[in-house]
Amino acid sequence: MKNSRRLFVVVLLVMVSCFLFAAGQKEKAPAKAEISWFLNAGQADQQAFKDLKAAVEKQTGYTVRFNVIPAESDDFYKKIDLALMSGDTTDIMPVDNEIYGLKYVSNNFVLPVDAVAKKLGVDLDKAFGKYLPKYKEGLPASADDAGGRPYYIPMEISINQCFFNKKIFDDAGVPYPKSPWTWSDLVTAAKKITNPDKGIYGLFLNEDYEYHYYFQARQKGTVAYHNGVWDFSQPAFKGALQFFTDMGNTEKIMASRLEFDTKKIQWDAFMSGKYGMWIVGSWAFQLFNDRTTYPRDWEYGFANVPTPDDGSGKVTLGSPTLMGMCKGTKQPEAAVRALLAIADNYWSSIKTIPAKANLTADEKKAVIAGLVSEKDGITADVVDQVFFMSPLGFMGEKYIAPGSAELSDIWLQEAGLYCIGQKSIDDTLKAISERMNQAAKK
Amino acid sequence: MKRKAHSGKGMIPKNEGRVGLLFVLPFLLGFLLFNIFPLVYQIVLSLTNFNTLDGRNASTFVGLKNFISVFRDPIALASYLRTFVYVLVFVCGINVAGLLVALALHREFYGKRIVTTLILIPYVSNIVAVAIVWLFLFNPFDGPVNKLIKLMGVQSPPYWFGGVNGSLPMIALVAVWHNIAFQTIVILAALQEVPKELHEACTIDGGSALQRFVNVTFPLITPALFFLVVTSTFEAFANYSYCRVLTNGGPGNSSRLISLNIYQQAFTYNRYSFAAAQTILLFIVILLLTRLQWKGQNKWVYYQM
Repeated sequence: MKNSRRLFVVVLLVMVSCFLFAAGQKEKAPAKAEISWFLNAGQADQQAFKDLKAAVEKQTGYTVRFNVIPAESDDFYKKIDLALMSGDTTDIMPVDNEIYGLKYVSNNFVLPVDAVAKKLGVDLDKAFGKYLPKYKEGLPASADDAGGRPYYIPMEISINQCFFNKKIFDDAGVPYPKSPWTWSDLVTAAKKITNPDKGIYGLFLNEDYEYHYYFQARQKGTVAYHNGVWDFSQPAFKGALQFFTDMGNTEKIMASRLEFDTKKIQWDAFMSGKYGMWIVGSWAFQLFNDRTTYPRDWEYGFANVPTPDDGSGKVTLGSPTLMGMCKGTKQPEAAVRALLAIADNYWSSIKTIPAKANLTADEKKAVIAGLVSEKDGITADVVDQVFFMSPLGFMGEKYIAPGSAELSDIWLQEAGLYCIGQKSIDDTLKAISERMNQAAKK
Repeated sequence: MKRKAHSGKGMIPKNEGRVGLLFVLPFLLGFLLFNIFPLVYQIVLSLTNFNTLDGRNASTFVGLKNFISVFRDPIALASYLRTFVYVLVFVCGINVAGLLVALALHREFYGKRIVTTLILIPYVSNIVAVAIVWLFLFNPFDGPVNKLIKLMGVQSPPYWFGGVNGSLPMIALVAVWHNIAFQTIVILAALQEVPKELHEACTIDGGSALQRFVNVTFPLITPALFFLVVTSTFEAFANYSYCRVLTNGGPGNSSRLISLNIYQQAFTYNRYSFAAAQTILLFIVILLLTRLQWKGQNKWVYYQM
């Protein structure tokens, strides 16, 4: 009995010692300022982000350390939430969804960047213009609201384009999409290239992104939130939802919502070569440039998105990728310097569109050069025509207002029932409005 | 060595008691830290307004406000109701199916070992892999099941996981199929404990196979069945993974169970107190149900003395 008690005490002491030793370890302080950056595992592995890191280190003289989160999309932000609530001291974080942007501002999880930027001699309004989001009392503020403050710096602007598979169009003998064109033109073209025998659909939409369901209404500038009330019962929303559903259920030019859900069609299914067109943000250029992950024997092209048939809504939708300074940062000045350096280098490393107010001629040339693809027949003229000479205006793709956090889930749940014939369109839009108003009160 | 005299109050001498306590201390610490403390914290959380990311310091005591909000939330209430239906279907399904399979395996037949292995394989399979297979098989568009049904002349086969009425029963079916091995093994072990003499006596008395089962076999395996009913009830209430992977609560909210709702409220919308209130209510429901089950066992569980 005595020996077993002694043995137990020894084991307990060893365990406690190990714990204290581990807890007492301190990291050595870095020789120069180190900026920590929340990033998902997929991006941390990409050469483009490694190049971006090197460029930022060169420009700022800091060491940049990725705080890699092993998750993507919504799960990435869930883990960041837990980290920040636990007192994490990571300096900067990305926000690729404006709804999350609002959440972090209203919960004081990110700090305003204007004061530090001014100290560094940078005029954020001049640099980023309409792409600089502002907030006042935890809500989005208009650009001309004097009380609005910027909490994020935009890195890129992702503008919805219509990417298309040239091989599918060539095989069907259909001319490539070209702006200006309407949604009916898209349906006509898609019908001609859809080939059920070969398993080819004319169109691919990410049906788990709610903005596709009201895309045309948004193009027309229809206001959904006004005077503290959400209202989706307007005719524009009805028309948009009906059009979207008909494309899958009636025209059969894309997977129906039922097919999309039951087959678990992935977000990058267009890269399989089984779809003629894909309406998605210009962030998708990264996929076409990545021939290692997405080897393909077909060329791609892109055009402006179609516009409503009635001639209104000559805009495309888009959203910026933002980056902000986390509340736990111990070095706000270094964090803002890093953010500005990332904004300078993001678009050239990732090959995307910068969210800058006025591009210089050289910057414009560099943007175009980054998107040119000789293998795909994407020339500088094509890029210039679609991006810089586009006749379409720009509008944010998401409705940002109280309750927006639930907007996606509510739309996908209720509109999903309409898409599978379980609810009328009027009941669907009424239910969405009611649930959004309840969400806004929470 | 002389043993100390018993204190008269307990069976274990004091020094042995102290050593025993030291031995259970690691488990006790873990139990307190990972079971009791979170439970107490959940209760405290449900009584505050920690529904943002602002931090615990910003939250204040609000009493039963979160619980009242649960009863005013139609999505949460519908999720509870749906969960009760799921529990009923799952518990009945898995225990009846487990009993039938165990009865079949209790007799000797050709290929019994292969059949036993096939029954055990799903139990050790990963839920995501299982979900992929079932979603493929029951795909309403080009899944083999619906193709077979169409060949039989049915023009509009069911949507299965994609249908509002079919999604929840299908989830229950997958869960039953995935977990049936455990019930089968436990019931099989109980069946093997039933004395053969009792069966022989019943046969001699002229009892049929059904009478043998009802009057001899079933009463003697009721303790095992009771254990399985209780544990499968817990399992059903705690179901999250099947619902999440197979349908994510859809279509609409037709297969949204309370566990998924709690997860979404907490980690998607950051309404921690609201989610905690739903969890506490679920805990109370499970507690009451278990209490009922324990009280009810007198009516149907037969313990051999």
